[in-house]
Amino acid sequence: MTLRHMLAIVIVLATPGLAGEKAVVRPVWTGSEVNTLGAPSPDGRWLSYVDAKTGNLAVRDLRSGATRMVTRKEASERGQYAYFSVFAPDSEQIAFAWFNEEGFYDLRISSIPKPGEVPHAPTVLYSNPEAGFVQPCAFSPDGGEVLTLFFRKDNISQIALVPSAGGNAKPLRSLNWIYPKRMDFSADGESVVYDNASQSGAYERDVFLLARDGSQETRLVAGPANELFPLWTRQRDGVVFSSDRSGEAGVWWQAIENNAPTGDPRLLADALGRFLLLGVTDSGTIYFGRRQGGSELVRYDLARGKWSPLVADRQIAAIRGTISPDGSTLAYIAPVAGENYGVEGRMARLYALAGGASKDLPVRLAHLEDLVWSPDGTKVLFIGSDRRARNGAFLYDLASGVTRPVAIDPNAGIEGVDASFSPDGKRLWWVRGDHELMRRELSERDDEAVFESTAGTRLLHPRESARNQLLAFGEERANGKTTVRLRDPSTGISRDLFTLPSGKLSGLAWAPDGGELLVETSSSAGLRLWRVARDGQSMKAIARMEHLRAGASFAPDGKSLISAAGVESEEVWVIEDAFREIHR
Amino acid sequence: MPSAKSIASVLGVGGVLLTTFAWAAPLEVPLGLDAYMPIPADNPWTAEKAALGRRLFFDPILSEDGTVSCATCHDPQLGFTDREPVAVGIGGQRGTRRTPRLINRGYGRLFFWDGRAASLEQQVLKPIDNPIEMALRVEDAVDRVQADPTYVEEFQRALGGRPSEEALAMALATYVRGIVSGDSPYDRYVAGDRSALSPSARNGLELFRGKAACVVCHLGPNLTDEEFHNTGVGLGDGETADLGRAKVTGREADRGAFKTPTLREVASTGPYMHDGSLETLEDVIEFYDEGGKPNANLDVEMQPLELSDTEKADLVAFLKALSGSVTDGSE
Repeated sequence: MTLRHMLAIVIVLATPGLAGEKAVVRPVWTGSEVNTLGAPSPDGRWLSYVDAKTGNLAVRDLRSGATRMVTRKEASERGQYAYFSVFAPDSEQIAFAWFNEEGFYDLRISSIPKPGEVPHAPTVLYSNPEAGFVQPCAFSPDGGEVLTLFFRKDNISQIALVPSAGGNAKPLRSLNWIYPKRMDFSADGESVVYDNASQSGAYERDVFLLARDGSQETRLVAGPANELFPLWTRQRDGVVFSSDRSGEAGVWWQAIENNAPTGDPRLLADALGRFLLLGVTDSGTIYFGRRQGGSELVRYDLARGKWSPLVADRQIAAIRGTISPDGSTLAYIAPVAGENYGVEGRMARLYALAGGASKDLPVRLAHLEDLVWSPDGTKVLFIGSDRRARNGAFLYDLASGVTRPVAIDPNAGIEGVDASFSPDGKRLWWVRGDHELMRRELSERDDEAVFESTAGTRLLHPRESARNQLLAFGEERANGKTTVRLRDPSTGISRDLFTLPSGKLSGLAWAPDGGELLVETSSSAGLRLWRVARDGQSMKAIARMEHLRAGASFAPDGKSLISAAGVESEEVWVIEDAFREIHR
Repeated sequence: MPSAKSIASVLGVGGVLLTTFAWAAPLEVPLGLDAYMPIPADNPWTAEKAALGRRLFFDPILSEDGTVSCATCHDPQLGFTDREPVAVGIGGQRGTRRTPRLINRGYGRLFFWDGRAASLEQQVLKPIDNPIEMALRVEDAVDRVQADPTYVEEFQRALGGRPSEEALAMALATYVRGIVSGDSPYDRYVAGDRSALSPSARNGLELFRGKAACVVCHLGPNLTDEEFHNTGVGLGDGETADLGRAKVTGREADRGAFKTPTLREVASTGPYMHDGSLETLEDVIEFYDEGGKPNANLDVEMQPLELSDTEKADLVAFLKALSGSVTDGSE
């Protein structure tokens, strides 16, 4: 534990007459095993989480640090894993999301095994591919229902109640693609608190109170700031939530009486950086997760063989970045404030490499996963999902600001589809449903499947070369090996170019002159980049870059590579004694 | 079950029968709809108000010559619409727009094809004093209701006061909120019953969400985004074309844009579009397959779809699967 961790952050409650009363803010769990997908048990003994090595649901004893598996995967369940979880009022049962054998998330319930006991077989409470993403948020005070977020195939999110003993789910409220990041029951179980956009199209959120029978909804916490992650406090009725109303993200508390706010919100802990609230125990200890670190854009000089920041005197915090064909402008995807469980908020920006002017792109998409410049530099292809229930690739016209879908796969996730331009910008290549290699002439509307892989294989990263329009793509085969293949447009025949000796293929790019391939592989050791001759005969490793992120690309002049690198870590912290005075 | 018109005639004679109506309370919604309906805090749903609103809905005294009630155009037997391409009001006068389906409007955001009413309370009174619909000044409608002691008693019981313009609106809006449709095969499929849709309807759902891109506007439990789009329907000579939303906003960009209607019960509630110009579901699909009708304000989402005949049939099968049960909350 570092010195920083050993120093407790002491916050004075910002309330007159409470000088000398202090809440303590401190870390309780740090290290590489931390994830913030779980919640504390009401009795404060356990913290649920996902065991990264196995994907099992596990609990950590917050007193001793000992861990215990709650689920036990069989060999046949490889590829399945636990995700969000929340404790029942008894501090024994846990409801959790499980990525199942059919490739969607279902809702399950199990209980903590006794020491030495084999994990119990969980009970499936809800399993519906139409609502294939579920997030259990809270149990009702009587433990009879699990307040759950459903995310449906039509990109509608729903606040729903799922009986913990099994039975039909009851949707309370449907919202659009801006799903609540946190929900909780009131102490009496008659209401549900959640966060959502303050108004249609806004990024900022407010906190709402919804009657459990759906009869009424009120806005509990409102204002120009971003207020989210509401959790009910039972010691005295109120809601803790995250807000940046002070100028920085902190934890605030709003008293509630008769389902209405009483007085102004009170600051409990400020300037916490990127964090998300996890739970409040019966004793009033507030648990939250913090994300540290991030990624920035970096450049690899192919001649010198060295990595450096992309821009010499400025760190560009970004997830993905790519330089325009004329070399003048960087387009990149950056994280925005408003931490989230699985997927952080993102926005797209342009940055002039000479001069440093930047501007935000008003791309109306729900999720941004990747971006590609069009060869003529007038458009940007965004990979992700839009606000209209479509997942795939979208073409954004820089002049008109219009975004239109160009490759849509109803069965893709919000990460969209893997797509790229032909060097002349006339065609789009993309993968549909993991098995079909699609070509779309951008002047037409129809897609054509030019190659279909066999069952058990997966197609990846189609990329057309500037030389002879050769199409390189990856084929991950049933034996786990990935082969890069070349398709000759004149014959339509594909042949193997080379097989990766190890790792997964996480990226592929032709050099601008088509002379070589940039191959990106991922393994337990991290990401590596390779230069591969166009005949596939030589594969040369590029100097390692620590914590490299996927998505490297060539600069337009072919002399360097652009990528993002950086590491993020998660920690679990607590705020203790925040309510000592409030309780009285 | 007696038709709406026969019920209306009974109500006109035996008002005392109303007191025996039993209403489901609280407002229950069928499978597929949210428990939460945005009901204004100053007009909460009650069984008594809904019963009063129902009586008013079917009562032709709200029209100038006593021949037209709300139910005349919004016929419960026809999915709370009618079969006319455009509404036909008092004296057989024809309007310019199709009678909207009054289904699940409690979840609505703006009302009428052009969204000129911001609430149901605002919307319900407008047809009464529209000269080509019911042609009765609202204050005169109130006078007529006040002249009926049974109405006076019901208003007192349901709303705590005498009949007034505001009370009239509250009662009618409450009744309309109780008109709900759900529990369709689609709803059962989305709830997890994978056998609820036929293979053709399942293909149609995939198309609806994918290639046909219907979900771009028809999304959510009520299959509408409650927004306004120009699909090129009803283009006239430019001078007489219905301005649509632009008539309300004054914005040229809204010219020819109309509100996305719900698709629930769509199979039984033709003809279609705001002007009733498309007779069948097949006609509608052909219209969208062609990419709508080009005009200066055509929605950017309108593109030719190049659907095969099988795909078109599958879409029709899916649209038919949106028919479920329609109730108005009465037992």
